[in-house]
Amino acid sequence: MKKNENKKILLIEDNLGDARLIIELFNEFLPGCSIVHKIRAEDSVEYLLNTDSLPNLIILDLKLNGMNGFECLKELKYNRDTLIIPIVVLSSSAMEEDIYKAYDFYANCYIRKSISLNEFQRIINSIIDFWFNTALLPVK
Amino acid sequence: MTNNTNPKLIDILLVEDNKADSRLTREALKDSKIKNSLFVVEDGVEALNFLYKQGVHTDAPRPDLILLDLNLPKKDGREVLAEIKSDESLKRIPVVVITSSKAEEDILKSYNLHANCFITKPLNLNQFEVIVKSIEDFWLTIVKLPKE
Repeated sequence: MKKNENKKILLIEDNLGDARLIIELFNEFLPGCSIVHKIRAEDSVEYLLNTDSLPNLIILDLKLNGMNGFECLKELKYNRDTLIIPIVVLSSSAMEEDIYKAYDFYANCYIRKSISLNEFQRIINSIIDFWFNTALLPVK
Repeated sequence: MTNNTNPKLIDILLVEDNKADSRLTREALKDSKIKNSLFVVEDGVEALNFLYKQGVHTDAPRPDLILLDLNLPKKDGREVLAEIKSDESLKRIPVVVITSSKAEEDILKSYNLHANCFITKPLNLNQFEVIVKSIEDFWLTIVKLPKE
């Protein structure tokens, strides 16, 4: 098996520019990983409930059309089959209320998107480094 | 924007009965770019007393981050985790489980109880420092912690 081939990430993001950047950075810093990208939370929930290979990590935006990120968190973190998957909320919002709400719905961590490209790179690099090199994940 | 610009002192609660490990953690965090104060309690009962400001902990701050060992005297870390994450007033505080266990069962159980992440303590001293720095780097500079 190639390096990182067993690492699977689900990205839930409706901003196509952000999604493209995140996917590029994951491919750069975690070469060989597989990324499933969903634009809608509804499709993500359906996907997770039907797939036989759960992702190791979920990256979730908050402002989504239809079901929003909070509702998505609630669907996934109150479901016995999906609650173990770490969810990194990656949002442009700096509002305290959004941060509180995300943690209250059991987001594993909350990270604010940066408008600076360098900072965005640093963030994605840190997410990969922490979740794949430091933490132990429940889904192998 | 990260917490870099946040002048507020980050309060960290370490729940750890191994004195060598808590000392190493304290030393690794002392040089942090992010100002922090580390509070250490050595068993599960004291951890909850600290969080509920009971007993000798009436003046305890509400921690911004909790580092929790699993195998603890008096009350097990898993029970402490379950209690924190089912308490409306405490559940939003991120809990980093840091334990010597690598057992699949402990990893699953911790995530099932809504641990924010699970980390195994390395046996090697240098590696231990690397892990604490990595926690510091991620949780204190990249992540937005809930302020209350």
